[in-house]
Amino acid sequence: MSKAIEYLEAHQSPTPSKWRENAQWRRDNEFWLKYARFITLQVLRSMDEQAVTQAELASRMGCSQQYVSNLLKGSSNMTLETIARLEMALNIDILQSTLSHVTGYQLYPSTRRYQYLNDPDL
Amino acid sequence: MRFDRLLDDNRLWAVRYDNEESNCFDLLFSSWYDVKGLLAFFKDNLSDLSAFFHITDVYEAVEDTIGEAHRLECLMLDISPDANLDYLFKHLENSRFTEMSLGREKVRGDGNRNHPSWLRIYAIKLEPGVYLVTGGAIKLTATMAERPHTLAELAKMERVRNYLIDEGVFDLDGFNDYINNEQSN
Repeated sequence: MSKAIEYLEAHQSPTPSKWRENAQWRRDNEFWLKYARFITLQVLRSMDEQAVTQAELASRMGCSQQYVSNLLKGSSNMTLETIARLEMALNIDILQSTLSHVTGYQLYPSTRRYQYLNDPDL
Repeated sequence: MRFDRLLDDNRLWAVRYDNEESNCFDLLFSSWYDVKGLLAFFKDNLSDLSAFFHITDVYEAVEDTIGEAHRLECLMLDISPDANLDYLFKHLENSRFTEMSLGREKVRGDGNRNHPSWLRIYAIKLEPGVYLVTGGAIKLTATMAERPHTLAELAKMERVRNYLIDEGVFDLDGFNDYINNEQSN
């Protein structure tokens, strides 16, 4: 073993690195993290457009500023309730635009759904 | 200053600076996934983003950064035991074509079809194939000296380099043997 590696081994941190564990978690959870990040960007864009601060958003959502701060990092597994509260607080539609952006899926407008339910040939 | 092993075969290490909760490699990638943090950074550096990369949409820059960070992180996760890290790390100075003792090195992201990469990982080369990561940055200017955040990374590399020299870590005989061997091949 070289002198350099011997030195590094002798002066290692008392606790092991968490990088691999964190990186592997990000990779394993990328399938939903991409949605969380996109939602967060939408929220931040809307906050900018409306000049809404984190404190104001927290107040409108009825939660702590710390909670909002963590949400805005983009790695929270948001509940539907949280997304709905964000939509109400900023008066924006998050779910539809997220679905159409990430998957290309377009929700049917409500009139089309009604037509489908009443016309079995469609 | 402490050190964290990133690869089990001892080829890649990272500095854990005093009073930091984790090593610089872990913190670097965490910062590259922090949506709010990235947005604030690109807003602060919008003039560089538009001048050098012709991007004016900071939200696009955030998305690009996360996409690139993901690819770079997967690359680092999947480094095979047979892979030679000397092909991954390049000399920090684009004009340097020779080895130097405890050389300063970098890894660049792969960029995308719209622009070259602005992600950088910085390291000191301890010996052939063995690297110590000192930090990283989002580099939006031609040289590191042009902005405080990249200048700080340069300062970190020097500090770590000087620390290793002062601690007698550097193997001068081994380095000379390596250089002589390279020159005779």
